[in-house]
Amino acid sequence: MSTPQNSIVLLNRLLALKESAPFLLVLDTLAQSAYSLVQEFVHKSQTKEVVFLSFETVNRPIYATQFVQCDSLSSQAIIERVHALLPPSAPSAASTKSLVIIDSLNYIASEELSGFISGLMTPTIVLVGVFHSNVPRLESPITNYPQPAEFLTYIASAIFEVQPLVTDSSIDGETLEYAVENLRLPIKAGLNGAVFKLVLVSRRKSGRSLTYKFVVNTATHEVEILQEQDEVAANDDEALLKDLTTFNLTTNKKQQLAKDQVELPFLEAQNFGPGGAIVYEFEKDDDYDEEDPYEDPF
Amino acid sequence: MSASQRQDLAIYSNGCIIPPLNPAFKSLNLVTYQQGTHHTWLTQALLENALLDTCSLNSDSSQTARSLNNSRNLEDAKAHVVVVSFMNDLAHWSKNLKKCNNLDVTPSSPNFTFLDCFTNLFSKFITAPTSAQSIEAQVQELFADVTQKIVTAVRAKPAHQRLIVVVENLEFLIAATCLRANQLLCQVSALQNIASHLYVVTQLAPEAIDVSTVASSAHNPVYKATDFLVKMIYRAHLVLQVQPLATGRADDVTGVLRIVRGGLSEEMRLVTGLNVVEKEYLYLVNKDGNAKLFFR
Repeated sequence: MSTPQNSIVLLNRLLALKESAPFLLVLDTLAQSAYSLVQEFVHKSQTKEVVFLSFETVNRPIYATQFVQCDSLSSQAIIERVHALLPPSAPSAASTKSLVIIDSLNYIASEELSGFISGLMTPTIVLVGVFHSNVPRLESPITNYPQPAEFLTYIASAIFEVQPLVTDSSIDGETLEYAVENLRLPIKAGLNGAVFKLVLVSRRKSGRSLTYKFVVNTATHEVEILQEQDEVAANDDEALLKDLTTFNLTTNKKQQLAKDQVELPFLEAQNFGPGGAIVYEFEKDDDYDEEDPYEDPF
Repeated sequence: MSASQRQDLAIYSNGCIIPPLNPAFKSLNLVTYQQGTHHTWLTQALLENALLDTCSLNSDSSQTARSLNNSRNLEDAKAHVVVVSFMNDLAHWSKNLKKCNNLDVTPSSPNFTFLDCFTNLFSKFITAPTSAQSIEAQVQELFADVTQKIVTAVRAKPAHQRLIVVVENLEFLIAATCLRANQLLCQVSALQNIASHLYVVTQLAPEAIDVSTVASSAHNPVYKATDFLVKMIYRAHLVLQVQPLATGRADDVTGVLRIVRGGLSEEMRLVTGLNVVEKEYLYLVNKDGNAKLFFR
């Protein structure tokens, strides 16, 4: 079990490209674009070489050392351009990693995605690919071929899912989902802003994945652990009980843990397993007979 | 509705409607409208603001604009404006701009160019709308022609640094032909490359939008329309939505104008320092076509 502090360290290491994670997937929605998180990657990584593969914008970002407008290029042509810009065998690049940003993977056909991602990967490149989850999906002509979102989340070393930090308390998740489906995004609710929620799924080498939730402020470059709603509610309960009487009615974490671990009586009786078996447990005052009458004489 | 509630149109944090020129930044803006709430009044206001820096929707300039008997001079316009339409002809725009904004636009107007892409669309440019092999090349040729005409017009008339391009009902191409959304978006990028500010005006039909669809064919009209609109919102810096009242109809309100941040609005804020101020206005279009905005 990792502590909250460790998770922030992990996030910062991932943003700074210090983890061995060659393909980082960023999932965004119409309510919160991945633009701010990509800015954070550039800020934290401090890498000298940033290649921006653009399908969506014509404005070259100031941090991009190379800007490739890809909308009229085939996926093979893009791979060749990237390898020409960042030669895989460059010896000086071994210590520092180059950042390759793809502003949207939605523009690559799903059948070409695996070839595209593996074609771009070299030991010196960290690939940050944005995928928009609200773009309508198309069934693949190949039977049972995975949808691009499923395929990308399967191969990604870490998944960054950005969600809006809704400032308007009257908008709940369901309202927001309905609004997005009707392309009628709520206004003044803090959507597409510089402060957002981030759900990070980090995959270890063993294959075990860990999920963390953060609030990221890209204006100040600060990261906090997201306080879940039920945690806040629990704190509220304690606040309610405080100063109510002279008795201490609250339970601290240790007491709560101990309380949860108490095994209540008769729980065994409620498991309607195979009944009728005589279970004999040897106790210290019992007379133990060496000879077993049922033992096989041979 | 009392006159005191009347509001001025302001889109950005500094109160402007169309941002000033920034050589390092080209904006993409999306205007959506629905059946029953047409965009003409809003697009006209944008054109007027682009050309003369005034806005007839705003209370202070509307008096002066309409009190002038003579049409306003486009010689010293603040930008070169190009309207590319896949729906209306020049007569439609010149009639409305004359009536509501006191602007005289003709084919020879300085700083204003109109490109009619509809009249000869299927006779000259797209001869095989259902042929998947040739459609991309034909549309590419059409947009190359449009780009060429824009570049020539800007060169021929008094030179302006600021070029504002308004494209009306571009989505007609994906509805009427087998063109895919990605192929059309490629042409949008090409237009964005030459313009300082590009405004794409498109219809948003709620019945043709299904974000959660899993289409079995790439030619499914709902899939194509949704794909285009969703990707446009993701890449837009600003989204202006003109839509009917959600609660039904009213005599003194025609519809709602919503100003929403697009997917890349943060890019605009970081590069130009301009922030889109999200808000909602109620608007009323009179019988004579003039619009008024009210606070919501």
